[in-house]
Amino acid sequence: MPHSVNQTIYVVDDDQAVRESLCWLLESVDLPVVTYASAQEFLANYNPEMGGCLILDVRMPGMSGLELQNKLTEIECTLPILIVTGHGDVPMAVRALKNGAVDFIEKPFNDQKLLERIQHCLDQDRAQREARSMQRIMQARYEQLTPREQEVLVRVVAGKLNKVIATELGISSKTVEAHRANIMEKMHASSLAELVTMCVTVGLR
Amino acid sequence: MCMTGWLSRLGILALLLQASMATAGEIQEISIGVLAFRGEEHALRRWQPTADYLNEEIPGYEFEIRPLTAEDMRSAVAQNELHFVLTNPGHYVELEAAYGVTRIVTLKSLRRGQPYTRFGAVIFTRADTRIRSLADLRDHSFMAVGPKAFGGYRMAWRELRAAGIEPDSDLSRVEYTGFPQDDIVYAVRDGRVDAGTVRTGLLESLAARGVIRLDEFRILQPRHTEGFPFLHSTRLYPEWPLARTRTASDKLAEEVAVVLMTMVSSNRAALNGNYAGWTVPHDYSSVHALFRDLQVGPYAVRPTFNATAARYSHWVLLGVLALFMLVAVIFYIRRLKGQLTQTLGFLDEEASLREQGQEELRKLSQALGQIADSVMITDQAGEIEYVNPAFEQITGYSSEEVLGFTPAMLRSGEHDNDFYRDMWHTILSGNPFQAQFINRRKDGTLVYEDKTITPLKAADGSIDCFVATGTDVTEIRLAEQDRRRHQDDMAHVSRVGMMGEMASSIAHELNQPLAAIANYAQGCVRRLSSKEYKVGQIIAALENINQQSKRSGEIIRRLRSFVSKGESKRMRADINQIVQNAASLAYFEARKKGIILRLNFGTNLPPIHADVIQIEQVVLNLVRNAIDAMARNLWNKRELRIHTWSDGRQVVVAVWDTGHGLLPEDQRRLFDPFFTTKQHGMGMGLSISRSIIEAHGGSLSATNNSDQGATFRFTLPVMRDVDEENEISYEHAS
Repeated sequence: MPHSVNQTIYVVDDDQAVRESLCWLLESVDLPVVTYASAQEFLANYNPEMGGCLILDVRMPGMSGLELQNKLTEIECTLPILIVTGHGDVPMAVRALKNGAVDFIEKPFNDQKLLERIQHCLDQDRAQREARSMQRIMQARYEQLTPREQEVLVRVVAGKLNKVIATELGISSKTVEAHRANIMEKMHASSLAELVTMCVTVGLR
Repeated sequence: MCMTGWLSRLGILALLLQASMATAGEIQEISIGVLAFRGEEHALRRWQPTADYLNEEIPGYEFEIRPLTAEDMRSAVAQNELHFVLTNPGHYVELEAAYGVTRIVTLKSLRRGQPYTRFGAVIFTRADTRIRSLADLRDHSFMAVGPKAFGGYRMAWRELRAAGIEPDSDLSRVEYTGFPQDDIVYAVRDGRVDAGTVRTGLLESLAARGVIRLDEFRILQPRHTEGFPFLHSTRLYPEWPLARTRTASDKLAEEVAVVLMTMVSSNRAALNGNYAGWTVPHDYSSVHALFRDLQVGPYAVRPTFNATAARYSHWVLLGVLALFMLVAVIFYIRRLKGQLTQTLGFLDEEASLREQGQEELRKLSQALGQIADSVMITDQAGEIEYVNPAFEQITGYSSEEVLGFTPAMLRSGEHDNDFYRDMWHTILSGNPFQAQFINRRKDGTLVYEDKTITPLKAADGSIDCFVATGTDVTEIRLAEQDRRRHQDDMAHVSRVGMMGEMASSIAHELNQPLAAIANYAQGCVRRLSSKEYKVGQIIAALENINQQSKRSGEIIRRLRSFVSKGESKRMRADINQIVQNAASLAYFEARKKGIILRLNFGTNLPPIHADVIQIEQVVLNLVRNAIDAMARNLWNKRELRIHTWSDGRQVVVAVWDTGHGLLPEDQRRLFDPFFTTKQHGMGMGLSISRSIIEAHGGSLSATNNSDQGATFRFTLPVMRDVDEENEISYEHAS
């Protein structure tokens, strides 16, 4: 199963046998696994750099899976969550999904289904993180622009003609053109369309 | 007083014995009480073929139908006149609570050619009235079968009450018509009354006969229940049960249940009785719920388990008094004897005194002859010198048959040698010996006697003779055993019910090892097919699979022993082990509700003498109550602790929770049967728990914690050496 190097499967389940057997199953397809015996233990070891996915049993003494899910939302953790339920726990699963879990799976697992769902979570995690790193790069490039260039950029992206921008900013069309060339270079954009897409990513517009 | 008293007590005893002895080759008459709600003739016509069927299928008995009114049936059950009763669910529940009758099968009624095991009632009005809901019935007239009719009134009453209508105060009038219920339908149609209630299916069958049209009526609060096609306004309740009374033997009840359940719907008995057959007994807790809501029947008077004990307490008191009198009398005789010897020496002067003494002696021997307790005097070697008439009556041996023999002739084999050795040791050292003796009568039956054997000493201090006095407590012992058996039955029913309620948690508990097994197996398959594996790893995984399958097996074994019915058996037991077992059954329920379960065991606790399964049941009941109490506390810490400890005389188990605690008004009624604060639940758990603990010689109590939640605490006496001996004798006796 393909996965990026820094993706790990985090398993939280209070039943030792379930935990260890799940570890055994996931390692058979070369997925790195870390297990935790309680929600508290996971929280104590959590850091925002964690990538991969979280497999979470809804029923646990102390802090339940749903409570942990709420805690993670509070601290803005974006780790995709795969909820594990017992037979007939559909209402609980629905609550978990409404709270933002990616998917749920019933115990005992069908290995094929489980691995498919994990893969889905990992894909989502990767896409999320790529988007975030892209956003960071764009943000950095945008911040390299001078204040004047930033003013011009906003208007270019809004679809205004050079002449209009020149009038609005009280400068000549030629100067606007020079700014535009600088902007395209600093933002590493090869066309206006690409520049617009980049600005959407940064959240400008 | 004594003679007639004895005769009547013996008479009762004979009846008790007769009931338990069905001698082979003899035809025994079996009475089935049937609720005759439409008159005797109707009941006989409907049920006689069923009795005929039983007579054909079960040889050796003569089954007879006795049509009775509800009140007559109640008193017939009380007098032990009936072996079985067939009655409506409401009446059954009353009899169950009062006399311990137990359902063995449930009727499959026949409606429009289909079998149904549930029924309800329909509440209706004319289609053209302005009454559209139950609440609209306020200040209107209403018609029902009778104030105590189950399908014909009480079912509807419960719904009315739920809709805020109290029939007595909120309706303009309630008319009772009796049977047949058809009249109610016509009265509503003809506008003689505003609304009425009848059993489900009746409207449809009248319509099918063309007597009425369904569109002439409006059904109030119509309900839809899957698999039940008839119009109904009330909840559905199980059909009539056939129940056994305590008079019917287990074997007979079993046979009747099997024979009825295998009856086919085309059988003549079913056709004549207008039913489809019989099925396994249903759960009648919904009927209990109705009675609880309406506060009638068993919920109006609360029975207690200790009633039997209370009934016999005056006999015990009398026995003790009589014993005191006897001992006093015997010492008095000895003294008089001495006085008389002296008197002989001074015959002339003491002539008047002697006459007086003789008079007293005559009175005393008269007393010995008429007293109800047995008296036996033996010489120092144990040879019987004298027995009184009560002895003759209790043992069945005449005086001539025992004089010159030793009391060993009465031995039943129920006591071991240590018992007699202990007895001889005590009396030969000059001390009185007290114990309950189990002896054998001349006719071979057992007799239980509370005996005191007193050595009488001669002037020189040597033992002259032994006097044994005894009170016959056979009847009390038998009643005790009977009560105990009933209590065991109740406990068993409650255990099975508890497991039913826990079914979903148990399914989850089994799911854990199964999930682990599946994971290990799938991991093995993937590794083996990729050919990248180490044999050692695969073996370790297979070992884990083995362990997990043992774990599932263990769960199932615990469950089975928990719901098994075996004879109540007390044995040496470790309280920590019992608590551990119960906690493991409750663990999943706790996990499901996010409750932390902590066990805090005292170390080196002394053993107890107990029925392990029953004590487990008590712990599980308390733990589940605690879990339920915390389920509503969403924002507080949810923690359940069980502590065990001992002070050397008794062991204590405390179940501590952080739930909603106990209301002061509930605290008093907590242990009453049928009392419950839960929405679902029979209210029998704590009452049964308390009676189990008390039967073990302990106590069960509840207190609120100072900060939050409640603690239930029970004690059990530490095992004594005597218990180990009783273990043997009790098993023989039961």
